[in-house]
Amino acid sequence: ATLPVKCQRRGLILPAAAMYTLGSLIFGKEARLADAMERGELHNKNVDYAKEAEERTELRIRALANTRPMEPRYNGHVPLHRYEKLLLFAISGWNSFFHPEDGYNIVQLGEATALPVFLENLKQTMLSDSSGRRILKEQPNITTEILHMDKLAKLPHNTFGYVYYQWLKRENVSPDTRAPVKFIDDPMHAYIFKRYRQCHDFYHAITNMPIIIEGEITIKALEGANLGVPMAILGGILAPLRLKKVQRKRLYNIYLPWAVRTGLSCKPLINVYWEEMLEKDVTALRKELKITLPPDLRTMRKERAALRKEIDAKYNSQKRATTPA
Amino acid sequence: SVLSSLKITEHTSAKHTEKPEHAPKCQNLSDAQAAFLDRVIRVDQAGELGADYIYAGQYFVLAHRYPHLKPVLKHIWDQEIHHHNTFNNLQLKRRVRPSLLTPLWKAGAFAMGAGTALISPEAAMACTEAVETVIGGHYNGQLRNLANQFNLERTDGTKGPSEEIKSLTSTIQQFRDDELEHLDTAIKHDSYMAVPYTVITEGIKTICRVAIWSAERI
Repeated sequence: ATLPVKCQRRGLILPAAAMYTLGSLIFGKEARLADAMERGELHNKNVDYAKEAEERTELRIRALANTRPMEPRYNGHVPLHRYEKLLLFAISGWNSFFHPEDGYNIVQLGEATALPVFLENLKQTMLSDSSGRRILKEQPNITTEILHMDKLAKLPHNTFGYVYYQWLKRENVSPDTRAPVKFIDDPMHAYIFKRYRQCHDFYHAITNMPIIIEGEITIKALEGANLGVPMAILGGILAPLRLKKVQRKRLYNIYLPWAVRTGLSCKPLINVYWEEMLEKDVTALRKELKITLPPDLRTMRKERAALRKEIDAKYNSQKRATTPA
Repeated sequence: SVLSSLKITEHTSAKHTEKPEHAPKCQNLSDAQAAFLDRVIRVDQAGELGADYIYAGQYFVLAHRYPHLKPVLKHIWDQEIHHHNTFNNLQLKRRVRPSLLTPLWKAGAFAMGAGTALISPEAAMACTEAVETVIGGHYNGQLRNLANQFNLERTDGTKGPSEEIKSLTSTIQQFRDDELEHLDTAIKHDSYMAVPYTVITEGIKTICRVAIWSAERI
């Protein structure tokens, strides 16, 4: 009874092997390389391949540039059509909800939601304040070189610069990791958004918030309430929904109310010339900006973890006592 | 018998040409260049084998019925045997896989030579004309590629083909000239008088092109 099965199997395997061999002889690597040689595509001494590649790249770039709605208005600008902006919003929103830890998604969502109405409003806020006007005029760029990390480390411990330095070290981040703006059309608006993005770390430092997801949501809510950044408002409303129950409770009871209250009552944070505040006393600066410190998120989490461990231990010991050995 | 002369008789002993001690060396061939050289030798060997068998077939049919054609055919056939042997040796030397369809080429080529000869001597000449036209063009294409795409860098800073490529090129040039001489001979012996001329020549040209394509790959 086994014989016909065997024959059948051989009847399948041999033709398959033959077809594979034939296919690899005709379409295999060797055959494709030799075909390319016959067409004179690889080593032809009469053809300048580097120049051809360069021309192809240039043509491709020109073809791509022709599909854009306008000429780039600043360095790194990628002009988008309206439908592309809508797509960017949809895709980056979806990605941000499920992968908020990937900064690239948040960056794209931020630019997709940065409507000109909001940016114009922010610009007016800046223009109505003297240091805001100065920032717009000088357009400073926050990098490690400008901040001089080693200098910050030597500042007195009560200064904002030292607090900021300590925060960077504790969270293991660097001010250089801010992505450039690409999709905002107006150059001034693009600068304002970049400035907002670069100042984000200062908000963390002055409110002593860690970069874990709860801290980020709190800071987003603060930015949303204070500056009206659409992405921040969206984040403050939607991001808690995907958290654990404990975290959500903590946010709704303590941090989000604090963030909204502080954001609405303190001075517009975009108008702060942070680079000049580094040597100021941090409590004086908080007072000047009318910022009150929230409870420390890290200690709160630690306390809860310790409590839980304690309860677990108690439960386990009780269980051991009641169950017969 | 007539087939006994198809055996490989010419064993050219590997000639050791004296090289100067510090002769510049060439860079290694790229994968593509090596693949192309393999293909050239495989298809040329198969082609010359085919030619050998075609003239064997023609000679088999015509030599005794048309004695005036005997020396003409013998001359062509001898040249093809030489070509065949040369490429057999090259194939051994470069360890190139022979065409897997070699039995088919043998049978088909003998049948083609004998078959056209059975129609008429003119038809045999038309067959020669068609075959040599395609082969001449194919050799020219190979020569063009060998001339353009083997501009290798040498250790002394100059550029150009290696000795191996040069010798292969001159071999192919010589053989191409031989094949075109066969073409002239065929025309001189009234290939145009073959009936039906167009059907024979175009049919055989197509067969040759398909055979070249297959022998290059399979």
